[in-house]
Amino acid sequence: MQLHEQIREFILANLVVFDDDVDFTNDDNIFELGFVNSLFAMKLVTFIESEFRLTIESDEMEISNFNTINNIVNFIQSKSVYK
Amino acid sequence: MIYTTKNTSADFDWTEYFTRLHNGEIPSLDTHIYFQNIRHLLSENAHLLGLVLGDVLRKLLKGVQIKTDPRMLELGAGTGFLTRLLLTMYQGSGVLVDNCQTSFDAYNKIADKHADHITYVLQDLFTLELAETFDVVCSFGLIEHFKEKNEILSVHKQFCKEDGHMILVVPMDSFLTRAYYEVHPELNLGYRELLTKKTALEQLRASGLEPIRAEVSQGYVYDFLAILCK
Repeated sequence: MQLHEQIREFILANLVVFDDDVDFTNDDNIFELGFVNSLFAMKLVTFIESEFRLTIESDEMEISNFNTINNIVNFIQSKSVYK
Repeated sequence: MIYTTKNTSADFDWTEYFTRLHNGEIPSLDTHIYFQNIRHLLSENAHLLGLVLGDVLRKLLKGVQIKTDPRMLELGAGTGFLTRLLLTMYQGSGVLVDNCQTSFDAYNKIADKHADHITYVLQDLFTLELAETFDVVCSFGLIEHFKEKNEILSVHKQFCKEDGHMILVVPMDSFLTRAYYEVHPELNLGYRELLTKKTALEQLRASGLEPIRAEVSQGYVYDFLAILCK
């Protein structure tokens, strides 16, 4: 599965709105759209670490790394084991 | 992305600026706009709080043996943000306690799938009677509202298992936190102490708690301190 699709599926599995209302691009800010709750960012961090066997450091815990599908994918790919 | 402040454009005329300043001309200042800008910059962001608090909790609990599926108790819980975040990270189940109907109603509005693992007790902390003790007893923004902390900290201890842990999260005294409350008078209500790390640790020790580790937040709109105690 493509990385983008994998991340999109995880977001869709954690929506706080009905699926019918959801339509977003890979560049849309998922936090600003209100599709996910305030616990989602940390849930996403845990998911990325376990799914991709990465360690996310404190200085990488920035909302800008996780606010769009493209940013999440870029972040994962920037980690050395995924280069 | 690099953030630039307003006066850093390449064509800013520093000579004119210093000449006018030298001539006693004070730059005009629209205080209302500046106040609103600062309020906006320092406004609560629940997504960011989740990330920053999550990071603090990870550092706080690194290497600490937390029982599988821990039972957690949050005192003065409000909507139980701290417990819900801990459940996201460590699984388990929790009890939230608060005597405020508004908080209870707010919790019910946002209750997510953790609701199956959470019980909400609408009761005063000081008359609280529970039949069990907990692996983790925590509070977020509670003890700073009490000038005398012995009693409120005793409640934390009372419901904590002998081999359990207490997590206390409080706003920390810093220029940022002071500014945050200064520009948000609507939130700056009642008695609230802003504690330095040193003072907070002293107060906890004086109340018979044993602080194991303390972590300071980085990157939120105010600074907070999380302390792990036995």
